[in-house]
Amino acid sequence: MTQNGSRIRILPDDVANQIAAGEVVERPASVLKELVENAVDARASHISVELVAGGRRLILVQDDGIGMCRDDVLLSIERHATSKVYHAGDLTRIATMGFRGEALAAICSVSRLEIVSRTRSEPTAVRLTASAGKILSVDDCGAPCGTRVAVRDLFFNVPARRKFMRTERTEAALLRQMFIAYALAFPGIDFSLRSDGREVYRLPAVSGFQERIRLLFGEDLFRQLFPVAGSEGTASIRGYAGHPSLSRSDRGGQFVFVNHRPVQSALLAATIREAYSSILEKGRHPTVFLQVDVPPEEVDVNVHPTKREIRFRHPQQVRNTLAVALQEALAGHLPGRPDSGVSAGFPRSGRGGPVPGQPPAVTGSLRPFPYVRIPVEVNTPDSGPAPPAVPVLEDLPSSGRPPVTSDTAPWKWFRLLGRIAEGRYVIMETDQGLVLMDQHAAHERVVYENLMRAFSSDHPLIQGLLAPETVSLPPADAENIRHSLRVLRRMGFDIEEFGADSFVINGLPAIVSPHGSVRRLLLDVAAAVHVAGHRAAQRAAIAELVAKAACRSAVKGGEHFSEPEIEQLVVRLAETEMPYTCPHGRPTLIMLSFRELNRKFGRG
Amino acid sequence: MKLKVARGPAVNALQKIQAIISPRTTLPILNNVLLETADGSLKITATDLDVTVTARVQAEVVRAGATTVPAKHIISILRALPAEELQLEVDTKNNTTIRSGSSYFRIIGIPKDDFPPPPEIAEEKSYTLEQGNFRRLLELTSYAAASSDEGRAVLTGVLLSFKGDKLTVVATDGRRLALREAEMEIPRGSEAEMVVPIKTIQELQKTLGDEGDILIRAGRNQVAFEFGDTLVLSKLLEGTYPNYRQVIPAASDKRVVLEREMFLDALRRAAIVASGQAPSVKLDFARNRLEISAENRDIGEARESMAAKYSGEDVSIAFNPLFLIEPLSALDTDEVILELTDELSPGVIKTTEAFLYVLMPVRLA
Repeated sequence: MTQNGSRIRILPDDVANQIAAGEVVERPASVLKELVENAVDARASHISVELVAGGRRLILVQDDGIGMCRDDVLLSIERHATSKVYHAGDLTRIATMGFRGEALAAICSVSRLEIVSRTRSEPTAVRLTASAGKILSVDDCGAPCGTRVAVRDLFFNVPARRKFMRTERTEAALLRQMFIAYALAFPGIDFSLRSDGREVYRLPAVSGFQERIRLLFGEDLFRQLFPVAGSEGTASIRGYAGHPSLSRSDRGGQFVFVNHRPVQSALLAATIREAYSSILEKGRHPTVFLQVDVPPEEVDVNVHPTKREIRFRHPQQVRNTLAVALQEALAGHLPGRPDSGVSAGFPRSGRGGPVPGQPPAVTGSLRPFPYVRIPVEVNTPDSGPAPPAVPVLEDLPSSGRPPVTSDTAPWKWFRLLGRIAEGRYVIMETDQGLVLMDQHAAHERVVYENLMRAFSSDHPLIQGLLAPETVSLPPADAENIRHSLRVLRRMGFDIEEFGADSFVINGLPAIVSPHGSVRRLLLDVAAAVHVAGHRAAQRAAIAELVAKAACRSAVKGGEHFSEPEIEQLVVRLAETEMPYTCPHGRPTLIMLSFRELNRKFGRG
Repeated sequence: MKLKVARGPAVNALQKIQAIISPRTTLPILNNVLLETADGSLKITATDLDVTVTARVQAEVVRAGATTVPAKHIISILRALPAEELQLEVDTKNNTTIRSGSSYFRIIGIPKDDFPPPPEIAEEKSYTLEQGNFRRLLELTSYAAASSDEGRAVLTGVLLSFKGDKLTVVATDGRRLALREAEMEIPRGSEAEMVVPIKTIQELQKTLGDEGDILIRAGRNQVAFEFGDTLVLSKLLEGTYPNYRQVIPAASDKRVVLEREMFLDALRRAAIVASGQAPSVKLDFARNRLEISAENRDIGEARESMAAKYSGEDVSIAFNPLFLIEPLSALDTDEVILELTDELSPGVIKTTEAFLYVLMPVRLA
């Protein structure tokens, strides 16, 4: 402590840089982002990225841009050194990717850095090496035009940060996701990515967004995208909105760019969610590729050091433009909206599907049962309705279990009264009172318990496929599946890796076999593994995940219940161990006891 | 519109088209049937937008016209009326009056302009077959189509391939595949392949008769089936049908001849025990003998044994019993041939006709 008691000091530069590094350089993916942005700003036409050990050992970005002269190279690792903004006024019309002048200095302060750069006018390149923010050497060498930045041993001097890095696998997946985002943002630039010596992507420069999407995600996915276009005032939007079947349980399929900058915007995310709200169930996120263009002065990217977050000057205008554009793109897949053409060529999703030209759907209106039912009493399972000779409902197979004692069943008898809200809820009278049943949730519970019991078997049966099915997954999902391969095999998936991010499936667990799309099943499993994290390594946990994913797919297909099927469903639900919630935790039943009814009607 | 029509034929026509009406449609007009007069007949049409079925009944047309009425009501009324002769009359407000004997009904309808117009068939190619033969082709294959497949919608249809002077009908769900061929003359330039939605196929199976011809007119997105007094219009499924030829095993060294009905009955019995989430039956073949067994931890076990014409080495294989029961009950031959390679390779069911069924076994992980 000094004599006059002043304890406030200006931080030395290296400390300031390390603090800034905390904001700008969160993890390897953010280093990659900064380096790629610099390369783009340097007007590169080729950008190649090399990664080792999920970016922990090496992140190398090489471009063929304008390069830097000796003084610039030295300045580049100084804080607030930038070639992109001269005056405060420039900040309101930023058209370059970077501008804060923090990135290289911050990266340099937490890694061993090497920069090699040559401009077109100089005969030799400059090579600078630095470690933890201190310059070690500067010399001349031979190199092609452009800049190569190699970041080694990230966070080697910041143990606290190192600890926060996730597994190599996770970081690698995040790096890839980042790479993909920039490859999509700049289709005119030739991008390549090598990871641990393996070529992952080689993307030649193409004329547009759409070709990039095709190259990265394949023709199959591309065919399920609807073009989106619209403009209002100064804002314009182009891109693609995915068919509901491409939905995922995370946002990994959403790529949104504002003025070519990959961004996260609460405003845009909410608008997308709203546009899809009527065609996607809760918790599913659509796949979208959207480019939003607004004049640079109408968007503030200087909200956060990493520039992921942005603010619009006219948020309402951007929102409207996007909402209208999405609405038009999805018309015909949204219930209650006129279709543009009957032969849209896509299988309609959901039950019954939206119908072209229909008036706005009246939801919540009471729909009486189409015919009068004779009361059915179910006391013990053997007095239940006789199952048909051939199972009518594939996903509701008779549970081969001894009859459940009546104390686990929520009721002793029931009588179906009707269905409301487009058949979503079933109303019935039981010995306990009035019961409302969520048909979908109940179905999921029944299928889930059957699947779980089957998965607990040590020798699951595999149903072979006539022709092996090849499924290509997005990088992060593929990583999750790769990680769980061993467990999946033991559960009855006959699955092999098949280069890059593809898998070949020769057989499925016999119990999930009838339930539709292999790709969807795998995607759901991948997302579930991701959410569960390393807990997923345990078999029981995976079984639970697969059962959840499978029952989701199973239930997806068959929601067209006839009255006898509803009866069966109610009987089966009563036999489950947890009849009151669906496997995802939502309630299946709402009960209103006679006593409560009496009380409400003032009958004491 | 005003006409006289016989009750029996009208009820028959309505029953034919009734299956198309989805009870859960959200578009009210789709609950209605379109009534139109044509020369000397009444045309009744129902649609779910994917499939449109029109049936024609002889009628004495007094005044031409058209309207729509709720299918449910007109069917119930016509079924319940005691007399054979009916008089239908529609006023300008789309009220349909039905008079028969001492009964009088007035049904409120919707103008015919609200009814979706039938799709147009462009660039059509046409083929003529015998109705009964065509129905049989469908019966022998359609059960193998996928009930739902988000990934590959084409599998929820049946492939009709008019090529190389034969019609090949194929259905598969990726686990098994059924194929039946029929020779027919296909003029050059008329070769085509199309995937027809399973709902349309089921409707055809129900309404096709035994006698008379069926005319198939196929466009790029739509197909029309005309037979007797019925016209079925359907959209076609888009997408590429998988190359089914490549899943048919070239050669299998083990060949068993089985009596079809005996085999089918034994499987049905074993399947009672094999029910549950992952049903499977085990087939053990020894010289001139087949043992069928099923086991279920929660239920118990079943064993069946029957004669078989087999002289190869012993082989065991397990299948989903449903995958065997379905083709065996669709067939009507006395014997079937089952060809096997080993417990991991696909099995093939053949008959003396141009029928082929490939199914993948079930195995332990």
